[in-house]
Amino acid sequence: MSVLTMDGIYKTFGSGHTLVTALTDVNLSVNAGEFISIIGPSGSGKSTFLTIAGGLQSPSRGTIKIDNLNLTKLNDRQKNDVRFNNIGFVLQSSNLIPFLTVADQFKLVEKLSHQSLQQRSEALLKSLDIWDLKDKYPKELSGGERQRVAIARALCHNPNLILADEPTASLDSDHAYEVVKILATEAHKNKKAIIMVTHDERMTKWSDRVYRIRDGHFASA
Amino acid sequence: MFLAIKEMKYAKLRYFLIIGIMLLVSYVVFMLSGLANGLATGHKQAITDWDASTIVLSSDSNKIANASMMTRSDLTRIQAKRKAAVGLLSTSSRLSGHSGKTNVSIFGAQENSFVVPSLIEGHKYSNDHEVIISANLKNDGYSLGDKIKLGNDPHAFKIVGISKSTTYSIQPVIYLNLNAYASLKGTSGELTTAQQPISLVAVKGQSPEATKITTHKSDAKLSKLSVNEFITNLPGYSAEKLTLNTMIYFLFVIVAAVLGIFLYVMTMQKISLFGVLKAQGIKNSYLIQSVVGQSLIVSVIGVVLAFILSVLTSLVLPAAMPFTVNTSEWLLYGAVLIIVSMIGALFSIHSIIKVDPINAIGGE
Ligand SMILES: Nc1ncnc2c1ncn2[C@@H]1O[C@H](COP(=O)(O)OP(=O)(O)OP(=O)(O)O)[C@@H](O)[C@H]1O
Ligand SMILES: [Mg+2]
Repeated sequence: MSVLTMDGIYKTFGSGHTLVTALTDVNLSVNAGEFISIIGPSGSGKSTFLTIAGGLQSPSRGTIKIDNLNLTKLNDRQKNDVRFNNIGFVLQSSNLIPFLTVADQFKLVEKLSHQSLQQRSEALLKSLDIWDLKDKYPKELSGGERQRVAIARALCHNPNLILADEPTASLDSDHAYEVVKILATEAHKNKKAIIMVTHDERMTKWSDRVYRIRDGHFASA
Repeated sequence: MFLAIKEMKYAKLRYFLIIGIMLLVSYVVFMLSGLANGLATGHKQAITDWDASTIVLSSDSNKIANASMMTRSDLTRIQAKRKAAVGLLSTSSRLSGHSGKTNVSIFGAQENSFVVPSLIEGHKYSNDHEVIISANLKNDGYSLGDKIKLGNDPHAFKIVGISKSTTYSIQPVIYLNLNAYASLKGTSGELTTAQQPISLVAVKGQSPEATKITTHKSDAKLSKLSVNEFITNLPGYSAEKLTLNTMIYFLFVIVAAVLGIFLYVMTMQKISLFGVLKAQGIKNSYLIQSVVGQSLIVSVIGVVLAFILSVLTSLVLPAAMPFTVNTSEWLLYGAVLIIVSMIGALFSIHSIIKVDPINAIGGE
């Protein structure tokens, strides 16, 4: 079952002789249980791809569907709701709130989504081996611990799609491998669709599929 | 509110400081309000005690009590059931045999007229050498039966009655009869009773419009005004009130600015965090609510503490200090302080809305 479908996506910036084509005819379908990597050099269009997939900006052409919701037809408010309910983000530098303890990061999501996430977040923290850190603030954690918490945070409200933007960039290679393995396990065991953007070749070996992006063109590797 | 409160707990020191600033400014506002009311009361108390409705002054006084000059014969020109001729004088007083002087406001009035206050001790004056003093003169050692000297009048006056504490022109008050008043003015010898000077006529229970004045050709022109208008024109009254109230209004603006700037700086420091939160689908309204909520918490705590501190201060202020607690005015000013603090938070709303969540991805 396809969680994310991108059809004929183009993205251009500017016009005339300042025209930049950041994405050219991107077609991609990611199913539940799939972990895919997108790799490309700087300026190739990785961030542009991720922001469009996450509904943070609209493509110039083409359609995106998340959980069968046609993103291109939604207004900003509705896209906001899709991001909150259907997508989990794992960002390069951690997306944690500095003045909340690990446990409170989950409590915030719980309050905003009006559902009890207690059991789920407890299970997540335990499976990611960060249960002991639940009363600590982000600045008291190591980079690897912080990314594991960020992954738990992205997963806690049970979205079908996880978008990870260079989640290993700030980590040493041991911790980086560990984080990627966690993502792969999540996809395979819990049937999530996970897209990871990276520029590090070594991080792609646990992926089901790897795409290369160059000057906005997608190619499967 | 969850986010707002958690952040305040995390960055305790910062928020303590801003609550401290809020407390100090609110405290100054309450103190100024107390002083403004105290000074206003100090100027007018003795006049309000009369419970009069209309005051008649000489027209060339330009509504200023101290400049008004009338004679006792003018009393008959004013048609009213309850009217009182009053002489006004500001001078110094000392106990016979002592050299320490106290500035006092002298009111000359016949002992049976309604302006003479009721007494808490002694009896009313019955001759030209007896006086009633207000109880606040007791602080200067005055008591029933003492002899006092007023201005440079050669006579000694005996204190026969004491009324409750009151002031006029922020000075304690002495009442005596119109003969004694004329003598203090240095005019008693050569004048008939009808020619004796007075300053004004107070009328009770009758509006200025209803009060008729007969004026013959040779008569000096008289003007009538309401007691409120008379009080507004008391020397210093309006100017002091305006000065202190203007300071209070400036403080309202300062509170909005200080809190606004503080919250704005805090917001600017959190711009990238707001970007991340918005990317995760957290709504603008929740983030705005957090900032406005923090402003509300800070200002409510600051104002409540300032209120308590002000009440405590008013209890220990020396009696001589003109200070009047007007609780309903304090509540009003407290509410205004809280509202302007929330307005201060509005500066930040624009920056929160402007944050583009797109920056959360791929950017630092
Ligand atoms: N808002 C924009 N306006 C104009 N051009 C843009 C904009 N955003 C991206 N671009 C251009 O689109 C291209 C792709 O940019 P993008 O940020 O997606 O690259 P990237 O693969 O994420 O690079 P990096 O690895 O350095 O983050 C670049 O040429 C960039 O200059
Ligand atoms: Mg990028």
